[in-house]
Order: sequence, then C-alpha cells, then structure tokens
Amino acid sequence: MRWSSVRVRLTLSLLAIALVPLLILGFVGDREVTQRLQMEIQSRLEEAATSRVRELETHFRNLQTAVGALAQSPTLRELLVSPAPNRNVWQKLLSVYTESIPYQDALLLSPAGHVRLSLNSQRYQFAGENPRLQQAFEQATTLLEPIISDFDRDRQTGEVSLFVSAPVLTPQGLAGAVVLRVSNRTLARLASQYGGLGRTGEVLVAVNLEGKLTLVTPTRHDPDAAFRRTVDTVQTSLAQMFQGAIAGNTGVGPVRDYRGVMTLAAWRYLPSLNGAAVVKMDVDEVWAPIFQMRGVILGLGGLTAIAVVVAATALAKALTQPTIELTAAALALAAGNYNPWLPTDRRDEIGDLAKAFNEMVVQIQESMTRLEERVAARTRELQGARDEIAALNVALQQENFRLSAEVAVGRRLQQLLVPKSAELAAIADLEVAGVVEVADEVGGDYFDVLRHGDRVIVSIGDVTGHGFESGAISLMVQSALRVLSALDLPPNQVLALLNYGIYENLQRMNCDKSLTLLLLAYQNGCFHLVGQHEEAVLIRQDGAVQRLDTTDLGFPLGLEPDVTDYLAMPLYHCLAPGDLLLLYTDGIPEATDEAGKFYGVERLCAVAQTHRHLTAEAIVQTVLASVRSHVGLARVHDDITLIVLKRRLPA
Amino acid sequence: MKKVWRVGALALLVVLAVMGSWVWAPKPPISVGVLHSLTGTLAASEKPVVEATLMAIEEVNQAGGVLARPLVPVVMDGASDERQFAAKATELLTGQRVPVIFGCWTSASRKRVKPIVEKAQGLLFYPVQYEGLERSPNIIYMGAAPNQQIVPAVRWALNQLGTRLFLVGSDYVFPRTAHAIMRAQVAALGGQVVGEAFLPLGSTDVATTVARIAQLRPDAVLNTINGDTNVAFFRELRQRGIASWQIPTVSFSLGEVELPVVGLPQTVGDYAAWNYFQSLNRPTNREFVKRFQQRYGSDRVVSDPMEAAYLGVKIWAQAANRMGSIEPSLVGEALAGASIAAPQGPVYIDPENNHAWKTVRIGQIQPNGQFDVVWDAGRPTRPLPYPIFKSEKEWDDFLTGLYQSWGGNWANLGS
Repeated sequence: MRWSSVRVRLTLSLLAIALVPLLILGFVGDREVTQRLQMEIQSRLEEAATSRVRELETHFRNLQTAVGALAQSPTLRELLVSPAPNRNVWQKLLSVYTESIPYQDALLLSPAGHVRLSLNSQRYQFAGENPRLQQAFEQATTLLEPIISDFDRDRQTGEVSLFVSAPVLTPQGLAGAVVLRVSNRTLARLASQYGGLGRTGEVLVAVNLEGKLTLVTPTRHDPDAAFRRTVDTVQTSLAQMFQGAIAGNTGVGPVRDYRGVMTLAAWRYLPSLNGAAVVKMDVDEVWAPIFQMRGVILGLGGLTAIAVVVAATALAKALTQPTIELTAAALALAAGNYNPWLPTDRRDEIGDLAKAFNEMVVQIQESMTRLEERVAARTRELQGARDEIAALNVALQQENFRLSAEVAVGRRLQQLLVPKSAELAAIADLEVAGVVEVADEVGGDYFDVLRHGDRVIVSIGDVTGHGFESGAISLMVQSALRVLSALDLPPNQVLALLNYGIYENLQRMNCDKSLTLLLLAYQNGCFHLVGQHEEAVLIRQDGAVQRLDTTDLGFPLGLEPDVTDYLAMPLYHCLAPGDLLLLYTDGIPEATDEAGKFYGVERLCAVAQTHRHLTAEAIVQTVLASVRSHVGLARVHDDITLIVLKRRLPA
Repeated sequence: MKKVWRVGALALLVVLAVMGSWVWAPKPPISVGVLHSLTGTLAASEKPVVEATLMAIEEVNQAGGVLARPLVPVVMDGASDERQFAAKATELLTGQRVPVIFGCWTSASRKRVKPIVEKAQGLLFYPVQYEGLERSPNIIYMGAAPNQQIVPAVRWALNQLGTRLFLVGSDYVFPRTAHAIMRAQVAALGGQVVGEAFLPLGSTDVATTVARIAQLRPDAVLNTINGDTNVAFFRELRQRGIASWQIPTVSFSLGEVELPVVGLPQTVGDYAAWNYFQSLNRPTNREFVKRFQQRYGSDRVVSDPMEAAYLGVKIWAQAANRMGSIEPSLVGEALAGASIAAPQGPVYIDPENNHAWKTVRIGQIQPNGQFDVVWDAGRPTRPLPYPIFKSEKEWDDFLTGLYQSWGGNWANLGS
C-alpha cells in the first residue's frame, strides 16, 4: 500500500477529523459530567442529611410542643390541683394531646417534685429518685418552658428513654409539672429509616456522654450500637467529623467509618441533643452512577469509534476509487494502450471526467487511424514521385550524353582554324599573342588574326551556346571574314556584311544562336575598332591605361538582318611602340573565385600594366596565371580568351 | 485550501475567546446592605456592630466570596431614628436591590423595617437581643429571645442572689415586655418583685428610682435600662453608697462596649446576662477576638451584638453558597436548620421560627472591663419567642396595647 496514496491520505484525514474531536469531547465531556455528577451526588447526600436532621429535630420539637400544650390545658391544671387526681381523666387527656407520641409513662408532679399521678408504673414517688427526671422537672419549673432531659438508661431493663417535662402554670403561680417518659425507640426508628440511602447508607446519631462520643441509635451495620458503640479516637476522621458537627459545623466529605470502609458522609449539628448526625453511604455505592456512566460512555465511544473507522475507510474507498481507476487508465494510455474504457454511470464531476477521458481515448484512436491513412497516402505519393524522378533521371542522362557528344564536335570545329604561331610571328610591327582556354561545359569563344598585306584584322567574339551549331557559326564567321579581309572595305561595312551573311544562314538553319564580335583593323600603327563586345584595354608604354568602351560600336551579329543603324563611327587609335592593346571575352572579368567574387577588368588592367614591358606572350601567360590563381579551386564557368597586341619596339 | 484553514483557525480563536470570557471573566460583586446608626445616641453602640459586620464581609471575600463573587457592603445611616431606618431599608431593598440587610438595633427600628422587608421579600439579619413576641419569614433573629437571656438570668438570680427583686428599665417595648416576663416568672417561682421603675429613653432622672432601691433594699436589681441612662443610674447607685456586693445588679443591655462609657468603677462586681462574652475561653473565640483587634486596634472590645452581627454575615454567606443562589427565598430555605461553629459555640437557626439556638451565660464585671463567666448553660437553648405563660394571642394583644398607649410608637417618647 502506497503511503502517499490518495486513498490512504483521505482515510487518515477522515479518521483524524472524526476521531480527534470525538476523543476531545469524550475526555472533556467525561470530566465535566463526572464533576457535575459528583456535585449532584454530594448535594443529594447533603439533602438527605438535612432532611434526616429535620425529622429528628421535628420529633423533639413535637415532644416539647405536645407536652407544653398538655401542660397548658385547663383540664390538666384542674387535675393537678385536685386532691385526688383521677387516672381515667388523666388517660383521656393524654390521649387527646399525645396521640402521636409513643410514651411509656406520664407523670404529674407537684411543685415540690412529688409524683401525684403516674399512668403506667408506680416506679417513682419523687422526682429526685431519677436524676434525669429531676433534671427535666427542675429545669421546666424554673425556666418555665418544655424541657427534654438527657438520656436515661434503666439499669434493670437497659432501656433508654428521655423525660419530657413542661411546667403547669396558673394565675396563682406554678401548680406543678407534667413529665412524659419517651422511649428512645422512636428516635431509633427515625434514625433507621434508610429511604433514599441505597443499600449501604445509614444515619449515625452521636452525643458526648460522660466525655465519650457515643452513638445513641442503632446503625444499619450494627443494630446493637445504641449506647454501646463509641466513636473513639481510633477512628480519628470519623470522630473529628462528629466533633466538628457538634461544634456547629456542617459539611460533606469522605471518611473511613467504624467498619473501616470508605464512605461519603454529610455531617450536621443536632441542637436538641447537643449532638451530631452523620448521614453516610459507602463510596462504592455513591459513585456507582459515575462508574456506570463511564462504562456507558466508553462503550458507546468504542462502538462509535469502530463505526467511524469502518465508515471512514468505506467512504475514502468510494471517493477515491474513480480517481484511482482514472489514474490507471491514464497510465495505460500513456504506455500506449489505446483501449481503456471507464464506467460513466456517476453523475458528478468524476463521471464527467470519465466521460471526457473516454472521448479523449476515442479521439486519440481516430487520430491514430487518420494519421496512419495519411501516412500511407503520403508514402504512396512519395513512391510515385520517386518513380517519376527515376524516369526523369534516365532521360537527363541520355540528354547529357547527347549534349557532351555535341560539345565535343563543336570543339573540334573550333579548333580547326586556330591561327598558327608562324603566321603571328610574321606580322612585322605587332606582337600578337592569344590564347583560348576552353571551359568544360560552356564554350563558344572565337578569335582570329588575319593578315592581308600590311593590314591585320583581329577578331574576337563570343558565340552563344556550345555544341555543333556554335562550331558551325565560328567557321562561317572565319570564312566570311577571310574573304572580306581581302577587300579593302571600311570596318563598318565589313561588320554589316558579316552580319547579313550570318543572319541569313541562321534563318536557313532555324537557329536562334548569335554572337558578339569585335573587329580590329590595324594598319601602320593605328587601328579602327568596330563591334559591340567587352571593353578593349589600351596600355601605353608609360603605363597609362585607357579602357575603350565598345557598347556603341555595334550590335551582336545574327539577331537582325541589318545592323547598319547600330554602327557608330569606329574608334580610331594609334599604337606607339611598346603600347599594348588587350582584347578579351567575358570569361576573364567574370572569372569567379570560391567566394563568387569576379576577377574584374580592373585587375586585368593592373596585371597587364604591371607587366607591360614583357612580351605579348609573357603578358598573356602572366594574366592567365593571375586569373587561374584568382579562380583557385572554383569551377571555371566560361572560356577564357585573351589577345594581347604589342607594337614592337624598334630593334 | 489555505484560506479555509485561516478562516477556521480564526473562528476557533473567536469561540475560545468568547468561552474564555465567560469562564474567566471577573464576576460582578454582590451588594449587601448594612443598616445601623452611624450618628445619634445609638451610634456608640451600633458603630462597633457595623465594624464587626464589615470584618465578617471581608473574611467572606477572602474565602472566595459568595458564588465566587465578592461582597460589597452598602453602609447606610439609620441616625438613631426609626423612621430613618425605614427609609434607608426601603432604599436598600428597592433601590439598591440588595439581597440581604444586616442591621437594626432597637426594636422600634426593627418593627418599622419588618413590613418593608416582608413586602420586598428580602432578608434582614437582626443581631440584638430583644423581647421576642415576633416572628417573620424574612427576618433571621441572631440575638437572644427572652428565654435565652432573661428567663435563665432570673432563675439564676433567684437561686444565687435572692428572691426579692427590683426591676428597672427604659420605657420602651423591650423592657416593658421583659418586665412582664420577669414578673410572671418570679411569681411562678415564689419570688417577689419588690418594686419596678421605667425611665424614659435618654433620661438622667434616676435619683428617685435609686432612692427607692436604697430604701427597699432588694436582693438584686434586674436592669433593662438601655443607653445613656445607665451612666447616670450606676453613678447614682455608687453615690448612694450602694455597692455591687450589697445589692448586685443584673443588666441585660450592658456589654463590653458599654462598660467603659458607663464607667468601670461604677459597674465592677455587677452582672450581665449574654450569650457571648469576649472572655469566653474557646479557641474559636480567641481567634475571633484576635482578628478583630488586629483589624481595629488592640484596645478594642467585642460584645454579644457584635458577635451576633458577625455570625449573621457568615451564616448568610454559607447558606447562599450551599444554595448556589443569593435569591432571598432560596437562601431562607438554606438558612432553616443551618448551623455554624461560632465563637460562642454552636449556633443553629431554628426552622420553626428563624431564631438562633444560643448558649446562655451570666458574667460578672471585672475591673479590666471583661466579664468573668459565673454560669454557663453548657449547650444552646432552643429559642421560644413566645413564653408559654401567655398564649400568642395574649402576647400580641399585650404588644398592641403598648404600641397604642404610646401613640403609635414603640417607645414612650414622653408625656
């Protein structure tokens, strides 16, 4: 079981929420209720003591009241003063006034204490014969109020009784006294009523007799206690209780009684006897309700706690079950199982969650399906494209082969009529050096040097495309130029005628190629320049560089039938000895290095200028080396063609 | 979640604070009435009683008060005028709403306050010995009834001093009733009342009476004079050459407090009848006197009404605590049959008549102003407010007769 599991935590939380208050309430409640119960039980015991004392006092008061009333009756007065008191009258009188008092004897006494009439026994003739009788008589007749004597113990019978006496007063003065002897049995009976005192409760009545604290009534646990049992100093707490009560104190508290048993006792002062009453009950019986209550509380508490534990566990389980199922399903989903399905019969948020989860699973499944279909379709597409590409590849390869075959043919054509070096050397006052470095793919550069007498015609040009047709065009141009160079025509006219010828042929060939052509006609140190082509570079012997723009000098050949309108006045320059003239195609200025940077006309001029004093051939090689070093490892895109013309210095 | 915890904790704190204020808040004090003469002719006798009452209240507070509430005495001045007593009693009961009054001295003041306290269903604790012939459910009589002072003293006098007695007293209800009782008793016991005199309250015209005494030479004089007249009376006796060993006087209103005022040389050797003497040799009493002298001065004396007033407060507090209430009717229930270990001995409130069982003693005046106990009943005597030689009705008629003969007063206020 995972201790951090939500079910465990919920169970423990529910238990804590339910049991902790239960325990707290239980403790606090038990203490409070115990206290209250104790106080109540104590006060009930005190009430029992109060009511017992009241009964006892009422008994004594009734005695005094009855005898006092009897003493004041006129009939009694008459009886007392009559010379021979009639017993029957006495009896009848007594029955009227003392019906509630169980007396053993009733005496009429003279003021001097002689017994004039005694109801039952002829025991006493004179009050002085019995000290208690004397006490009652004497006090009653001097204090003039009903008096109860101290306890009188009959030596013969052992019986205990009290004398109750009241003075009989006439307007003439004291006529005598009436004395009743009342057995202690009434007191004993009163003290033996244990109603409200359970099984162990009893009433102890004690008086200080001859210096000893003596019980004057039988007790529940010792019926012979009356006038036999003393509460001596052995049982100090009980004796203290009694003495305290006799001093006037009242109270309630625990005390070990004469049996040695722990009891709860309430003590009271008994004024009529100048003694004390203690009402006590065994502690076990007294606190029994509390133990019962405790037991009930514990039992109920235990049952409640068990019920709470069961309920908390069940509740936690019920509440967390859906979450746990959902978690398991989500984990399964994360692991790639797309089939979990949750029950959705609940109506609460958990049910909503389950429904949403199920929908999510369905959507995921659908997405997966669609995705697979799309992937299949895409794969099919790709397959198709790949087949197409393969076919195209084959076609391309075939085309490539055809083209390279054509290119090879074109090159051969180009190579056919390259001027021989012996021809070049024969030109008297001009050093002419030239080179064509053919690129792998693109080609089409053309140059020629023709001499006719002391006229030299240098031509340079760039034919579009490469291949067989380009080669044919080069041938046609070379042939036509050779023929035209024999005529002494102005350069413009030469170009125009050349254009006419090429154009017409191209029309017949259905070919859309063309070429740029620059013609240089040199004679006696000066030359004319016609044709639109790259700039020509003129470098004087002293290093001055002049770039000759040819844009306005013509038009590409083969595009239009008549280019006369495009021809401006040819450029006319002269070469001093040592001067250079460079003619080149775009392959040199547009030669790119690995970074794509062009070589540029400026650099060409700079190199040529720096090496102007070299031979034309050396200059060509130097420029070539410079271009090659610029290109480096990059691919050569175009033919490199360079013609260097240098007026020979005089020997 | 955090907010719930905070709100819950706050609510718990609030509940605990409220409960705490219920449980531990200081309880409001209880006002109790103290009604005596602080001014006027009776102030000299009543002010010490007030002091004893206040000391008892303080001791009750030190022991925790009544129902854990402290007692606050509301002391009012009856100004030695019975009508003032009535007015102040009304104010205490209906204005201040005190649950108990400790007060009154003269029977006149008590008789005026009695209907007021009965109507208000209050409680009055009366600390002075009196003539009896009265009962009320709203008055606790802490002083001696006639059978607890007068009757035993007469018996003792007849036994010890002689059978020829002269009765002298102030002219108001107590001495008048006392003399009636004494007469009946003396007659019944074969004695003789050789002469009787009533002196108006406050009167110093004692010469005639003392001359009669000198002439008649009784065995003893029974003295129920109350107040300043005693000063003149004893002075006159001595001036006449009547010594206490020649014609002893047994007084019923002369206590330790009055002796210095009357004069010790004048009273030494004479007797008084009380339930309490300062000289009673009991541990409870020695402690009580020590406490009083510690509080009020080592030269102060304690007399019977002071002890009775002190007992009244103590026994009321005890009953209220036992009952768990200061409601006068409920406390009255608890007072019936209540007892207390008093300095004088056990004192018990009789449920029948709301009077106290008290022990009777007779003491002889010593030169130091204290009494030497010459006779002790040994145990408390049951109070009988109505002596049996007349019926209750006869006694009521007797009282009514006195009252009407004095023109609606309880004393003979002059003619």
